Amino acid sequence: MAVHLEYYDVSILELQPLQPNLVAVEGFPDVGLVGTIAAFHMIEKFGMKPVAFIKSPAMPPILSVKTGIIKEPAAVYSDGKLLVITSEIPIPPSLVKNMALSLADWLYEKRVSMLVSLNGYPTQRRIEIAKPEVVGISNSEKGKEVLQEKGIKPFDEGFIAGVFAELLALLRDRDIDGYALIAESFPTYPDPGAAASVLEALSKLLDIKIDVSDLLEKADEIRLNMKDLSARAAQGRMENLPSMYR
Amino acid sequence: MNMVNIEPLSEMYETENSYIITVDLPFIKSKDQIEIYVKENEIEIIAKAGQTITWSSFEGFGKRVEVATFRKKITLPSKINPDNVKAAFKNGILIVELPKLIERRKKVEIE
Repeated sequence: MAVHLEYYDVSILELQPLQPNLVAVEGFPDVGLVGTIAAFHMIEKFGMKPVAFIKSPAMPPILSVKTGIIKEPAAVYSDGKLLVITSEIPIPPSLVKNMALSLADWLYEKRVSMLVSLNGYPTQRRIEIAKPEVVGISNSEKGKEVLQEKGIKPFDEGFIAGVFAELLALLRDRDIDGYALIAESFPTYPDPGAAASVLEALSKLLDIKIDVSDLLEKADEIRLNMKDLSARAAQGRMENLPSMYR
Repeated sequence: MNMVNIEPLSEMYETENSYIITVDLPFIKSKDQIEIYVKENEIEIIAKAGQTITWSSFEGFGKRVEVATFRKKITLPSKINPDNVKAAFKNGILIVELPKLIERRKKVEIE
């Protein structure tokens, strides 16, 4: 039976009970749709099923339809080992803080072992880069050492913004390890190459195997089919951030 | 299925002397598939896919269509010199550099 949990402007409809100690991966639409492309690749590769829907009155009234059945665009998927949190529509700028607060409380209640956010950072010289570099951020000293052990270059200084930035801080306050893996990405174009790079870094961090070869083979199809979502995510970022951080 | 033109994603930024436009052209493999037309205040880019591509449009409520051509027309913020426009195509991205037209002031003598 589905369980309906209410948080800050966000409700999470659990479709099935979840075991504790799962690793959560977040990939909401953001720079280059890196997290979203990576999240949907994992969902497909690991045969994940929706385990919870994320709903909010602040989300636009859009549902996706798959094989004739409605589905919330923001959802949590699982294969029994990992939780993947993603959305087929951008999170409205006005909902970013409450989305992060709600997810942090929910992940705490579900007793996840850690969260890894997958994202991109915009670079105008991306066109010259064959294989995007990935940097890692953690929410603790211990996490920083883990990234170092796994050979993931640290993002030393700068600013981060969006749901993942809020989540890292909120999970630190709840004693949950949080990481962000961020790849060099096109600022507004869907970037399957950057998504492949963050998935390779995620493989190293979690000691799991994620085959990204067909992600690169399907790059043209992904770039075409995700162009509208990418444009919307970029527009949301422009509304959300002061110009110096875009 | 309907054959449609698709507006590709593009970005424009400005330097002191020119406008730089990039256009994301998935499925386009060669510069020979791309045509660029410029006027003093406008650029039009047409790229022919040369194959049937099925695209699920968000605006079309997920309706799947076949894509024939990418077409993008951009009105420029100021006049450019159409004779000195440069373009390159790399990894599926078109980059066009459009030099701004520097209009010189001319002093008018009073009779």
